[in-house]
Amino acid sequence: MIPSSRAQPVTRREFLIRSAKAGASVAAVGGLSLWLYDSQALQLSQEKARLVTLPDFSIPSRGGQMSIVTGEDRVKTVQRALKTLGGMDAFIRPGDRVLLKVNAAFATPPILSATANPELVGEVARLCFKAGASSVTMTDNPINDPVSCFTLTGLAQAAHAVGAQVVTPKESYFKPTTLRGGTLIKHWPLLYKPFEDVDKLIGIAPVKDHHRSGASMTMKNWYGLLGGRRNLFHQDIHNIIKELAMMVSPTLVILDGTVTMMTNGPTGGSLADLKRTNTMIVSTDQVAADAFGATLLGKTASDLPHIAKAQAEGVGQSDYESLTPLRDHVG
Amino acid sequence: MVRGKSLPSQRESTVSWLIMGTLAAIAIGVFIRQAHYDPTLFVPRVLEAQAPGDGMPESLPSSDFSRFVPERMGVLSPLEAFGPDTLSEKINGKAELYLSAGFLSLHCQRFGSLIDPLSWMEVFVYDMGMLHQAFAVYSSQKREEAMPLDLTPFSYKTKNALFWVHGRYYVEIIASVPSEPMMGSMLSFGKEFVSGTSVEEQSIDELRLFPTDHLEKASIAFLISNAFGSADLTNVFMARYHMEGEALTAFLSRKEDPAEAQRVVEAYQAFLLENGGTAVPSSADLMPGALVQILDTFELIFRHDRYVAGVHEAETQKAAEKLALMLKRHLAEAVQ
Repeated sequence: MIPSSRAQPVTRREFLIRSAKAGASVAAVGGLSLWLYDSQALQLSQEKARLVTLPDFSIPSRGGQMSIVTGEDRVKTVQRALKTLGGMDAFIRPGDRVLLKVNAAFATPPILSATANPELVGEVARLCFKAGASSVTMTDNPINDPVSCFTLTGLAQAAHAVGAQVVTPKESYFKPTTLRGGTLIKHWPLLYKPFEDVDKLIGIAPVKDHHRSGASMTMKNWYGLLGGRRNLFHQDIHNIIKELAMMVSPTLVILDGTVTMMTNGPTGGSLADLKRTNTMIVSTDQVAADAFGATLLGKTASDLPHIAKAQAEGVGQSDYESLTPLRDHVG
Repeated sequence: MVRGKSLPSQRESTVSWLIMGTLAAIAIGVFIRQAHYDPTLFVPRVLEAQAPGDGMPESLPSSDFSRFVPERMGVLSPLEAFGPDTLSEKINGKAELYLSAGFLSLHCQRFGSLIDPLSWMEVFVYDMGMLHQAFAVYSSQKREEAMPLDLTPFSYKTKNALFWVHGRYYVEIIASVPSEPMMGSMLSFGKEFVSGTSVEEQSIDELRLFPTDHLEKASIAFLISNAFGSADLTNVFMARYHMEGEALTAFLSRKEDPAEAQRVVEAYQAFLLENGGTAVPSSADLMPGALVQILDTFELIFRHDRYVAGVHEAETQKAAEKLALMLKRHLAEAVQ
């Protein structure tokens, strides 16, 4: 305590200056704290604890297999393609719960081939049940309104006809995921709920031109598992497709090249964008399937950088001939 | 006598500190916001577009498109609206095509047949801000099986769809089934839309700059950026010609002034040479310009007044020079 006799009188002006300096110091410290404050820190640490990853749905003993069947009738070609690989029984065991990841991206009619064909999806679901599947569910997080997408594409009706379930995305169905070794998929919302308690995963996609990536096939089909503002990934389209392929290890992929969208993809819109290519590809290797699919678009695997990128990560084999694909034709 | 520096009053000091504090708060706010910017909001604008009023294009109905629909059709869905930051929620990977061409908004709506429930159509109205930009997205997506229409100067149909440009709008109608009744409904909608939607621009002056001999008229397209892979070639019109037994492409672009046109000519020539091209002496009088042989094709570029023009991917030098001379003469007559 300063003795009152030695205390210097403080003028009003000096008091104000000192107060202002003190205030400025407090403001500076407060501003710095605000700058360094991370409002999402707590949320992120909680999210980290909730991070999910997809299980590996592949069957290691099957290795890389592929069948290519030509013909106009999708039901016949997919039946034959599966039969050449040992039948659906080789992949689906009695009691398996099967998830079909279909491409239901747009609320467009089946004739535009912008989405998975309902007849094909219905037949695959039927074959799963026939092999003993206890449940078959189909899902997608479409670009457009989910209900419109599943109904206008005919996919909901196809599912209903064979007793399969359709799961349309709800906010609570998404959980954050981070891809190990990935640079884009970090704490990103993943449509996870449909995968809970699932034993097998089959991806079903049409062959389409794509304005950004050059093609949309089985690997790009996993884009429909992402939530959030995923369109940002279009700026780095080949790497996001690579990471999606790294993230998902399916039991099978079915690439429908019966009708190929040659131009103006991925939406198309006119029958003039389509070409009959009459080919069905079934494979355990999504990279090989897409590498072959590129040929239906009049391209090669080297025209689509995501194929080489996925192969470099060990996802699959772009040299599909090395899998010695089984070829057949059904009239 | 030197006058002593007067001290500020308390009021002045208080006001000064308030101002300084406010500025500091603004600076902190700007700093925080700039670190979290949304890159999707920064879309290149090549041409200066008109802004739509309150998110709804001018001259379009504020409710929906049902007033354009024939009696035998009913509304299937409400009007949907998308802006630059949400366009990909409707057309996904194709959004970039529109965004790079100056897209402002998309309005779309579905209508169904009252007779056949499986027959429905969806109308897409893209407001591209300007006729040139609407023409750019129209021409870049034009289908090979296009059948011309007289709906507007730029319109065609395919078996299941209609496509046209009306002023600043690029419009698509896509049907669920290819049928005569649906085509009739789509055409009826198109006519009502065109007559009921006022627009300012209807013609594109540059189109008359292409000579008509040997021209495949429906092939004319407009490239806003990166024409032929060159960043310097922007706002380029191109048209396909059939002459000398081969198909080749003529192009032209109007620049601000002759100096800018000359800069572009030289930049494109340098681009070709950097990418493996070889300069070839031209026998035609096309100076200032250049002829470059690259990948077994010939590229010819020249300047006329403030126009950059040329021939792209000609198989022979003879055909390239012949078309270039035609183009130059036509340009000279047209811009007099």
